[in-house]
Amino acid sequence: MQIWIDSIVARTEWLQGLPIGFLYTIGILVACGLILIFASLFAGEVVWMERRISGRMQARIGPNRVGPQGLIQFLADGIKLLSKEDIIPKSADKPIFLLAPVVVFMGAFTAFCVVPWGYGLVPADMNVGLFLVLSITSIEVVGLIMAGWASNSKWAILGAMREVAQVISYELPLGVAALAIVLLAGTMNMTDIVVQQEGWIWNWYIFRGPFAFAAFFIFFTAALADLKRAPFDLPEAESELVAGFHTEYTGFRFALFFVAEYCAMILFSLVTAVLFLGGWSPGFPVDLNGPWGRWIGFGVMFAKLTFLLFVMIWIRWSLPRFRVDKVMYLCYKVLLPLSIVCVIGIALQVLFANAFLGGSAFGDWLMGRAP
Amino acid sequence: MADNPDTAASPDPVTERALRIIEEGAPGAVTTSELTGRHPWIGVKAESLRDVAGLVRDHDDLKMECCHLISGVDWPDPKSETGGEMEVIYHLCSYAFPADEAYKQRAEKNDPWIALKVRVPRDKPEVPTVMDIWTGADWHERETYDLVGIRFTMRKELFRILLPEDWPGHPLQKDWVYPASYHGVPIIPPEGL
Amino acid sequence: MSDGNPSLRSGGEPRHAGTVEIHERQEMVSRDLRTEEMVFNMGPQHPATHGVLRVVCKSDGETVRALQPHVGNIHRCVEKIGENLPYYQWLPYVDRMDYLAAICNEHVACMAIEKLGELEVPERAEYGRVIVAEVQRILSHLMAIGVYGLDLGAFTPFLHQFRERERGMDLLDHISGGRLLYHFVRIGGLKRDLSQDWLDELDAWIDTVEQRLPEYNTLLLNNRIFQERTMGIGVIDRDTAVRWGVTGPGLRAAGVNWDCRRDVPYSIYDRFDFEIPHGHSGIGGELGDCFQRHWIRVREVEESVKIIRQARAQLPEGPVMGRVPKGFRPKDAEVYFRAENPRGELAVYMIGAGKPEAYRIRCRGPSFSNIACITEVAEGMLIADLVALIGSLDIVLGEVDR
Repeated sequence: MQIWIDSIVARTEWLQGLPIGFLYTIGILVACGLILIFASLFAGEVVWMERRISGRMQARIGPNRVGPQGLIQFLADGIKLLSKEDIIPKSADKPIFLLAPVVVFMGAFTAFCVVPWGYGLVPADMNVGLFLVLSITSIEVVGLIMAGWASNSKWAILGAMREVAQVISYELPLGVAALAIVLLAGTMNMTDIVVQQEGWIWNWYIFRGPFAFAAFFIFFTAALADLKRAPFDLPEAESELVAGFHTEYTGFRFALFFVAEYCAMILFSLVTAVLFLGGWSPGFPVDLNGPWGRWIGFGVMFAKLTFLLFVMIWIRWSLPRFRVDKVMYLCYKVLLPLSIVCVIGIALQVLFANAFLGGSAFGDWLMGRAP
Repeated sequence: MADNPDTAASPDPVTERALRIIEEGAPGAVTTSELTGRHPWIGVKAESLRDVAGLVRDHDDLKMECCHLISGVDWPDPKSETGGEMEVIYHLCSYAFPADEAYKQRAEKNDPWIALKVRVPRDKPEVPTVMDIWTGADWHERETYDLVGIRFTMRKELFRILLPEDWPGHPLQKDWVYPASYHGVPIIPPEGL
Repeated sequence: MSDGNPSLRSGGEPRHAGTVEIHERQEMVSRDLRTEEMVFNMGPQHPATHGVLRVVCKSDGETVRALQPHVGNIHRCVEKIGENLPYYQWLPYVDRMDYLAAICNEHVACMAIEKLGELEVPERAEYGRVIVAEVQRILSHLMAIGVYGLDLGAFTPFLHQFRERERGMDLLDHISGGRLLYHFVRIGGLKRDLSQDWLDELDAWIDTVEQRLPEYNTLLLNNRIFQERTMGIGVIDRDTAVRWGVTGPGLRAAGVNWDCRRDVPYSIYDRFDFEIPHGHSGIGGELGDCFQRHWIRVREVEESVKIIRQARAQLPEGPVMGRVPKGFRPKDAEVYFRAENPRGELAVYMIGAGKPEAYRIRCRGPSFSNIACITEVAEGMLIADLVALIGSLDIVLGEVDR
């Protein structure tokens, strides 16, 4: 964002008189607004995508009436949800009940600020970007336990309990797998992470050694669990807990949870694409960092994002749900040890390349540097 | 079983054997019995029902280990002092001889069930429970109590199962009349009643 | 969750004993911490109770400590109605007991009434009854298979089976005029003859079912997560099953090789060659667990297809309605008749009194006995396993409450 504003200011004379900090603030606000709108709309489209794909998978059609191919179905759904009665249970803890969806929504959206959509297409290009993403998304848990507790419903509290246990547990392998990539990249700045993966497809971090390859699957699985997507959708397992933590929510408050869930899906797909799949790099050497090329990069990113979303949807509609203790088993006894092995392995890989292959192209490749 | 009318007149082997075993094991328990026809049965006194039940369940030649169905029937008799009788019918069956060949040798007939009938006076319809002998009898007893009004004693609390707790009377008793209303909802009895 | 739990150890099969160990751990916890048990209502409006079953659970966190099912929410007085209506007018009500297996109910009720009144049924009608009853059994089992997936969180197999079920229901619709409740089997025979067109349609349909069945198995039976969710879960062993009167797939999964169609042959089932799938250790999982119950349903669909093919080949010509006396009044007699429904043994006990209506009719809904056993089996289970157990028993509340 900063790079972009700088280039605009350099070309526009009347802006040069204004204090640069003010321009940055305005720019970030505009970008955040754009991201908010874009992410909400895109979340709506992901809902549509999910419904169409699941329809295909289930020998039915899915929504195809509102707009071309049902593309603006989500708007109709949104209007329907807005027009629903907003019910607050009598025995609910009102302030917390009202605040919970906002917290959840906020947690899902704030992290978009630091995720790049293309070179420079990021509201705040922070050097701790990845760290911020992982920590901000954890705030969602607070919102969900608030929702479960304040609803004063047994199903909601059971759902929230499962939710907290599951999400907090899966933060561990998720964070450790991300750490493996941070070791490889040597930075938490998400733009820099992508820049180091440019060039041929084997420069993507997923292909840089067996440990990085394993880390991808750990990260993606943990992300699925973090997002409460099937087969880890225990907190809202409709056959067990009715609807989990949002059992008592109706209308627009329910919609907030719903949109936040899909936003988090988009977010984690983006992060996965950035960390492992080369971000906006199409897999062959081409410079997409220019003022126009970045929009092509945006398209590449978008394609990867859509693919990852498709995989998530595909998994959801194919698999039955895990049992609650199996989920914990998978986390603590499979994913967490494996992710720690990945971190150690990558650390050794980087050390080894540094000590013996320093300077050679292969050594750089192993160390996760840009070729 | 006796689908063929020719064999309907001959006594039913399983019931016959059960009768013999009961008479040996619990003398005086059997009141009347019907060994022929489409529905052979053995009448048992209420007070010795539990002994008989244990006997037919555990005896190696019977192994009536499943209580298939418990039904209550109301036989009112206005002339009688007790207002008639109530009857509980226990249909018991066995899964101990399943493989068809082995079973046929053992029990001679292909449908291993027997029926025990217990008759009790209508003004004091109390039958001892068989719930501890066949666990599954629990719900059947509750249903019989609920619909016919036969009380089962010696068991954990007996409460209604299908009808609401405050439903008036037991609808399958022959002299039961439709209440005019239930919680303010008027009840229109079906025609012909 | 707990560290030293052998059921969670890698490679180990999930065992029911695992939950017992969780118990012990939780008891250790509750010694040190003040914990409370929670009582909650599962149902009557709960997605996984298959209708309006209400289960009051006392739970400790996720573990069910005790539970009590409450039934009767859709009691429709089938027995009382039977005492008030002539036999032939009572038949439509029988459909509504097990509404997913209406034809099987009619078949059993008609056979009981025919036995009571000593009526003869023409050959072709017997074959027709078997064919429609087996079609109904396939429909019912397909539903059970799909819904079980839904209970375990797999939505897709549910809709896949609906595709076949839809065509099967159309099939029965074409012959009887109803989609769910048919009233097709009548006292003395069938309502309508089976036309050649319909039989061709039937052939095509059973071919499709046979073809598609492996697809469902890929999605469920052979799925690793499905196996982990069901193997060793909700074990109803032989003793428990027989004691509680569990019948049908629940009983066969416990290893009892018993099916009324073969062991107490009624109608014309003794003319067909078919297997009785029953639980054994070769299938995987434990004898009498949820997995084996599911497996048995899948296998029974295949066997039903076999029976339909044989019946189709043997189908004789002739009338489909026997002679039923006008003003049918069976004499003073009793009859007890039991037969294999998709969910277990449906039994009808009937007392005729020389009147157009019966003196007493008593129906044994198999689901009624099947669901009763959960009080014992579900103790100490996780809530998720309770859902798996109730789903695998495949109850229909219409039949529980009658």
